[in-house]
Amino acid sequence: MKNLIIIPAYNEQDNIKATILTLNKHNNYDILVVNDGSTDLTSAIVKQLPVELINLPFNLGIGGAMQTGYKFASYNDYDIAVQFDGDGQHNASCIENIVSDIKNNSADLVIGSRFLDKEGFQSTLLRRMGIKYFSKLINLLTRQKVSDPTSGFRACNRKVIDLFADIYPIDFPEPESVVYLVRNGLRVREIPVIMNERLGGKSSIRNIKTVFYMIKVSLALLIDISRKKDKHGVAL
Amino acid sequence: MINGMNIKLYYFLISLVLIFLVIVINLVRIRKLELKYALLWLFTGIALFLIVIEPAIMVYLSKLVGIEVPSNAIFIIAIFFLLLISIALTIALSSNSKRVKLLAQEVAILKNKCEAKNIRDLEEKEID
Repeated sequence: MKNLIIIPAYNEQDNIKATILTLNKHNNYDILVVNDGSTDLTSAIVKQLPVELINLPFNLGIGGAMQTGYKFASYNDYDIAVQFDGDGQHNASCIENIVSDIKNNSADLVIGSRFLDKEGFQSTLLRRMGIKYFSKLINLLTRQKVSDPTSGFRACNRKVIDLFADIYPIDFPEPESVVYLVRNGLRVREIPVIMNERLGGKSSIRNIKTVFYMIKVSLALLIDISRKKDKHGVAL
Repeated sequence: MINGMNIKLYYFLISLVLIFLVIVINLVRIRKLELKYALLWLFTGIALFLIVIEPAIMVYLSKLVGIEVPSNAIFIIAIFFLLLISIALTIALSSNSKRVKLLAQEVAILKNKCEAKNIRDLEEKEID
């Protein structure tokens, strides 16, 4: 089995090296860093490490960067792709847990949730409320239970890799991709993980834009659920 | 609805706005339009809808800026709004053409590298 860890990185010069070194300590998966047009030393630092590096010529945003990773995984015939943040939020020791449900084929996408066991960093109250809202909305739309729909710690199998290589939401892709997969009949499952507070850098979701973000993602979810499969059963 | 407004006109305007909203949402559904760009049109549609069902909003706005006839205020606001949108579109277009230029340069340089490598490989074969 070929496994790939995809790390989207935008200006992560302070954390990326430590993240990759701990990943290497925990398993021998291939690692791909997608440098999303960073303006700092991210690219130069990653170049010196034994990992694959894709430098995007300009900033595409998290959706475009992750899709680049899925395209790479698809072209290079990887069986499993793990999405892992470059900022030290995620725990490398949890990867095996996330991947095991993919390996024994009991799920197509596994999301690492920080709220299932309520261990580790639980994020701020305001953000938790926002996440709870998306969780409720997704449950309402798809009957799928997801406690941490914005989690960027996830693993998927070949089928999902190929789907994501083709269609992946652009701006805030995590919640929308869950609805997209469930709508197309794929199995999404959550397992508990422990997350850390970010070591540095800024979350891609800033406080001022939060309300706008909530409206936009809600609309995106509503519109996505109204999409149907086309005649040939291909995901749309 | 405002007193004395023609009921036919009222329903006609409401249907127009609703059709506009349905078209925008459907364009997003079939992935012809990014939600990011559709948001502007959705909010515009919602604003138009509010003005149609409550024209007093326009009367209030025109009084606020000192315009006697509300219809003149509509024209001013609409023209100004369209002007803003055109500027926003030109900005988006500029950033796109910059990106296309960058992509073309990157591809051309990559192609040059690949061709140089092919020639090197061929020469090595001949030497063997």
